[in-house]
Amino acid sequence: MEFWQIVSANICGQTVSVGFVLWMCSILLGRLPDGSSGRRKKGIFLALFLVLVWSVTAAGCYLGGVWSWKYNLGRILWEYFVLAGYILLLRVLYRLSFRSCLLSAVIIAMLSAYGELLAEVFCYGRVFDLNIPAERLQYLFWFLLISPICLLFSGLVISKSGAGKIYSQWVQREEMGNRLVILIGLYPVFNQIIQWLPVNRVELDKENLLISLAFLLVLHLIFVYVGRDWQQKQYIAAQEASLRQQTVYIEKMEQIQSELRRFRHDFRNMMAGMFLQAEEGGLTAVQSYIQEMTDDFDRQVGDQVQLMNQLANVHMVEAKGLLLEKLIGMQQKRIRVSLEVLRPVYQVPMRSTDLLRCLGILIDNAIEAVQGREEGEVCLMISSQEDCITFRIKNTLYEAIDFGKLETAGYSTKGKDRGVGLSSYRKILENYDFVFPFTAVQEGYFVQELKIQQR
Amino acid sequence: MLPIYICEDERTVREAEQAWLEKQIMIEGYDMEIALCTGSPEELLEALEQEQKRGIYFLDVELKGASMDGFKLGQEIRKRDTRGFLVYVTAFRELAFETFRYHLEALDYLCKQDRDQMYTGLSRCLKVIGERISREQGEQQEYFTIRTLDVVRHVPVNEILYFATSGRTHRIELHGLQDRVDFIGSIQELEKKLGRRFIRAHRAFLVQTDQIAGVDLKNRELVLKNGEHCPFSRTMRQKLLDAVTV
Repeated sequence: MEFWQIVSANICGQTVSVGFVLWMCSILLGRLPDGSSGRRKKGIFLALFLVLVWSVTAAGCYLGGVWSWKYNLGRILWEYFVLAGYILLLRVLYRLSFRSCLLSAVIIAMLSAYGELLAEVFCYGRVFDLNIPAERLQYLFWFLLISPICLLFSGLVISKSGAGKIYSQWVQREEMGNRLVILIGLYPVFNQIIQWLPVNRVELDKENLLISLAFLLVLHLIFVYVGRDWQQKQYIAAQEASLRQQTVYIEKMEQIQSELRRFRHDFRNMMAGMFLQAEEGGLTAVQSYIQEMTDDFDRQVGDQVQLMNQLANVHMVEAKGLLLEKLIGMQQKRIRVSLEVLRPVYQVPMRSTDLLRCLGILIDNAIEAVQGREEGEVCLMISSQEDCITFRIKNTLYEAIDFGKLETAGYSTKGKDRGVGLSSYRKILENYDFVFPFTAVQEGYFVQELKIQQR
Repeated sequence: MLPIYICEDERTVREAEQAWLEKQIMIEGYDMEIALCTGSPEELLEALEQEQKRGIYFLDVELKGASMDGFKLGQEIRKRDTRGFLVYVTAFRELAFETFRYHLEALDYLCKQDRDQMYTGLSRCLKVIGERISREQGEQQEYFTIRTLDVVRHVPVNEILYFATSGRTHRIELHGLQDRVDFIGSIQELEKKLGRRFIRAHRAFLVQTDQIAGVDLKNRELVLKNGEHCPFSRTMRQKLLDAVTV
């Protein structure tokens, strides 16, 4: 076979595998590349370029005998070469950190190995001599038709069986040790060495399919087992958190109840007093009594009940917990706080960890701004309308705000080592096309708003 | 003359409001009149269909027996009268006023339990509205209007520093003296629409010429009047220098 023939066959093969890579990426990361057309366009160009480079290099390697280097060294190098391409592609399309790119790339390489092995079942034990036209035709049939179908099949199995979700955990975890990442990064080496071993020992001149299959299966089991384990742990942690929140909620309720009991006692005394006043015919005195009583009620119990009533409209467990925690914190710091949730809120189309971080940052900033000040006030509003949800956090403003520096990391009116919040807030929002932040100074208040489009 | 509409399900409260408002209009000589005093939101909306005028609305929050509550009524009124004044009258002190103000631009809310408080509230509202109207008449300010999902924001044009594109598609960030707003738009269209007051200093930046305090040629940055910096492209250098020195 001539060079250009190999190259053109390779181009077809590589296009299929790049398609597979992109497909797996969207499963692993749970989303398509961000909408910015510039990035997608760049991604497409890069993919085409990579296909070309790979095809030419592979053809060169084949003719130059690189595949038959000792210890499968040529193939190992080749796998890393391909991995580097994947990493670059992921980086351009998804703007992930290098580490996540590496992990995703390796996992995708593993996933495509399933498909490749499956394809090899169909030509098990055969060595095609590409110089014989009939065999070349068979090879091309296998290479251009059977292999893509196998790849498609394995992709479908991965996406439908939910295995993709377990693998995606590996990519999305942040607290994974560096050593583990390196170990996973060594996968191509292990893979090739294992494929190479039996070849030499048993003196077969073909890859030992069974061993490779067993290796992949073991790897798969490990990944699934550990992934499941993580899932379980996360689930338990979430349960614990929700339990903790419920405890806090119950405590709050008990507190309100005991205040109510105390108020009942006062209330009886006041009624007795009022009764006397009424008997004497002092109408204004009775009126002021009633006023006093309602004020008292509001101060002792009403405000608390009001807050809890509003909070009850938040039906997202994690957000409710966060709000409760912040509300209690503010009350302990004697900060005047109000919360308005006019209509029930059930869900927000944002990852809940991201939403919580954003809300946490905004509320903490508001608390920090008014803490220790006279007459400081924080107002929280969550408004759920038909097509969007608005979170609005507003606090009394004491110092002029430099809008130009607001989002630079480290800017804060409170001195050094503060103010990392807003820059990471902006960074989180960069991942979402349907979230609209708004910041303003209005009527002596600093207002931060987060508007999320319902989809 | 500004028409006043009252929608309140309790007849006694409604009549008390009307009587008090009429008295205030007489005493203070406001250019207003009671156009309708009703218990039915439908009747109010129907009346609005007839007359396309900016109005003043005193609305009950809980309209018993009616097809909509005060919030929904407010939304319907806003569809017909975007610049009217909404005041809510409620029996509960715990009205979600922030939400009402945010979505409906409600002016105030009054508690009807205490009649005296309600009366002072009504007088206060009329006064505020009267002042606002006369202030607006003298005002010549130009506003830049932005629609983001369910809200419309008005930013005074002379408070805008610059517009910048962001990493996301069609996303524009408005940087103002007092605000920072994200919205969907295209910088080319903005450039066309805003005309000569703004200059496209950079592919990603559209800057208000009046806000430029200086040109930092060395770092290729514009220094704005509030101290912010923003980059400019090499090709724009001469144009910017011309714009600033004129």
